[in-house]
Amino acid sequence: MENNPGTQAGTDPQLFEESAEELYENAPCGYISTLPNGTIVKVNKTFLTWMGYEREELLAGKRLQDLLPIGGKIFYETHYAPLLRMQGAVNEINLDVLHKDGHPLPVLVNTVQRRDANGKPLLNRTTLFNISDRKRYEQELVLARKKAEQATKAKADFLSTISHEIRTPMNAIIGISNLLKDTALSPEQQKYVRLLKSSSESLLSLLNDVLDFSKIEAGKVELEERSFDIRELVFRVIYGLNVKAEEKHLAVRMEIDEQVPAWLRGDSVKIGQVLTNLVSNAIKFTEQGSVTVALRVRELSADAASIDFSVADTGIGIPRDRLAQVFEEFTQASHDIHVKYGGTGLGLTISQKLLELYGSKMRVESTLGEGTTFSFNLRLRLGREEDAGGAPAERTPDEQTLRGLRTLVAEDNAINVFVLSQFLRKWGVEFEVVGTGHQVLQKVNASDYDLVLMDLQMPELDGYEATRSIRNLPGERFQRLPVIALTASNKIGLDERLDSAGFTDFVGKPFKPEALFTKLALHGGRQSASPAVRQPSRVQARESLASSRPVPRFSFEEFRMLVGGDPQAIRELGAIAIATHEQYKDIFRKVLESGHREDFEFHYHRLKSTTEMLQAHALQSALDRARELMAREDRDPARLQAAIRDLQWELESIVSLLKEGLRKL
Amino acid sequence: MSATKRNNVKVLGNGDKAMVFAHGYGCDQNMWRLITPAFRDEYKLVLFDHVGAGQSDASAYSRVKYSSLKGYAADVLDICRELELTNTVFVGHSVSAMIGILAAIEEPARFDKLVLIGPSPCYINDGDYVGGFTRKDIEGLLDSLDGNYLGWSSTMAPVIMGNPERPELGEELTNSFCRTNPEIARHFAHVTFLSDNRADLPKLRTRSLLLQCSEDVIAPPSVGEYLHRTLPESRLMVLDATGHCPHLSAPEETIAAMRTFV
Repeated sequence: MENNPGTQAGTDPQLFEESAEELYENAPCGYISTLPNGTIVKVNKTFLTWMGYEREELLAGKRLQDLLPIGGKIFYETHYAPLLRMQGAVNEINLDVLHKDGHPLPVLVNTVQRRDANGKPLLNRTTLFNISDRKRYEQELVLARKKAEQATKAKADFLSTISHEIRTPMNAIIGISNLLKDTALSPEQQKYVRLLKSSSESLLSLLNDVLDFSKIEAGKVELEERSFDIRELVFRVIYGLNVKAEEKHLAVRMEIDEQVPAWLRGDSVKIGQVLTNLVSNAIKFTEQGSVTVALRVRELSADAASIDFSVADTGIGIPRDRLAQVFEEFTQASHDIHVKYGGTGLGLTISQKLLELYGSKMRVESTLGEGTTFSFNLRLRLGREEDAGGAPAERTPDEQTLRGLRTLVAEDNAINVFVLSQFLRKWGVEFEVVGTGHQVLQKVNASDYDLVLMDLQMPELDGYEATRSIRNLPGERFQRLPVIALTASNKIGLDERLDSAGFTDFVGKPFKPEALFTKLALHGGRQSASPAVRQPSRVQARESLASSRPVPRFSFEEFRMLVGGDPQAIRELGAIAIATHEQYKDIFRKVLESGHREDFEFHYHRLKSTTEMLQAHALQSALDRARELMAREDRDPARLQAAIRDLQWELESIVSLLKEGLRKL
Repeated sequence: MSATKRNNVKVLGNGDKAMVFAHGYGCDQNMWRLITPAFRDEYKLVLFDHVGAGQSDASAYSRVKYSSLKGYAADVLDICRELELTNTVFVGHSVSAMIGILAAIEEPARFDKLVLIGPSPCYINDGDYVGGFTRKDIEGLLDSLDGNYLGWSSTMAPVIMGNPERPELGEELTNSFCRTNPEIARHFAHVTFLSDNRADLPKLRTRSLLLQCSEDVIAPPSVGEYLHRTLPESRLMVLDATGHCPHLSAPEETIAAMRTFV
């Protein structure tokens, strides 16, 4: 039908002035045309109004991408432009364009590309819709999502912090139960200590799981690569869990394909962690039958092997509809599982995530009531025995190794000091304890130490600052002095802080005695030669201490710390200690003069626990020398007199140091 | 899962020697469509999508594995291993240039030559080094990705809509190339633009051709020069083409430049 405005009477003539040009210029959307490289060649009035530019300004060679903020430019180059070239059009791209005054205008962009007969691009036609209002709603949505994410993160952080806080007192519990185990106990007490030890260790492993999990979640876990003996690794995992299997009369089998190379390269600790988790689960959920750990070679090349690992049990199995959920964090196959078997439901999640580091995935197959098989594949490079370095894992430390190692312990927590002291003394380490960073600096300046064990949280000057200050002291020995951090914190990012403060290494609290021993031997220049004959001879250690160099006498400060800093308790204990030492001056003089060995032994042992407690090393040395003398048939009267004088002197010194200390309180 | 399936590997061409094409951030293997015809008679052409892009298997994505470019380099090596490729010509665009360098350092025998288009070892300015961006700029990019995600942009939507039970939802939408899972795209952007692989460069022993565009906001000339100085056995060619994708905007010039090297 012909459309002739003139013939339609009664209609507003204004309406019919709508021309193509008018529509282009004033349409409710922006129009721009550009060359294929983005140069703007035509633009409508609507867009100019939005953007605050004059037409000439935009047509003077400006490109569409010049109107974008930097993030948008990257998006333009990496996505918009290639997409447009490939498919000739793009739809609904979200971009911000910048107003002349710099403020962003959110727009939705559609572009069509005009091409010549050969498909060569000629021109891009772009429409832009102003989506300011919509964008505001979207931003609210983003904000809401971020808040939800932050809340989740806050919960995770809380979990990590709490776990860390619990680890600190665990130090005391595990350390002291270790010590307690070595004392003379009735069978019933032994049973209790075993329970105490195993419960506290399982609590520790739970805390470690939680911390591991948070660490992996934060992407802070990396794979280490070194050569390891895969058979030994599997054997060690099984061996470590065998007690539990034996209790349930389960057979644990190891089936390793002959083709599996002896040495592989990889992170044996993490692979061991995954296997330990699977095997201990298998044992936990199996009442009769067996657990089989199998390794089969899928593919073997000149430099690598692809190995299928599987752990199969004949246990309760997992219902089909719960299979996928077993890998979710804090989720177990059913609530009953938790009630009956305990656990956090973190083990498999951690294992799964550790495997992800290798680009692998855990698979599970299960038949209810018949058993479950977990399997995964790892592609590992071939290793060589020569490269298998690293710490000797669980070797019995040669207790002579550390004897006489001059160590400064900076730790302000009395219980930690107590536990540390017990081990250090057992190993014959010659040590002094201070409680603040300032004291550390004084001490390292005044004497020559082989090593410093440094707590991180100390009053006034903390461990980081103290270490930094040591490194800044003039003199090369302060650069070389090994400073080992004692840290209860497993928080993320700590390693970097330790490193930048100048720490040589760290020992995590609660420390395993072996770990502490290894670190001391490593950095104290006392590389353990061989597992050697175990000879825990305290007396010998002390004798050598006494003969080699002067030993610290007694520090009121240490005494104060040991008691825990409560002035009233210090006064009371101090008074008792003064009275005890006064009393012993007399006792030992009489006993030594009489030459009665049994009497001496009795008093020796009674005083010994106190000297240990007070870390009165000099007194202890004097006592040991006297004891050695008493053990002889031919006692030289002159040496006996010297021993009496020594003891009197040491006892008197402690009494006066205690009195002085109490006065200053 | 095989690497061929995971990375949607396509093999075409008639030659014995292999040419492996790795697409850059924000796209997929389709971006090589204007280049591949020129080489298909002489080479065996191997194309693939990085995990998370194009038709790759997004279920193979692991945040941990792909938290550094090494995860992507491992995939390239997996593909070479599976197809038993050695002595290849590797053509990598943008971030894939660096991915190729990492792969060639790891297993040099797999690579004869590297063609690196718009490469950059580090996108962020650092002291004397001019990468072209500040950390804040990169956050701007991440924001704009967020915008596209929430805005249900059709560039992202096909993946969201493309659920296996209703394939027509994905098919009907117009932007069929360069599909990217938005979450992965965001993480890949993070990993790409915050990466710094400058320390790896001197370890490379493979010959390389650096193709640098005249005006490239993502890899400015200073970056090309830096790479040329730092990479042993490298040749730098500056193209007339502008932008970041000369293989799309100026395929003839790109092909001619490649021919001088391969």
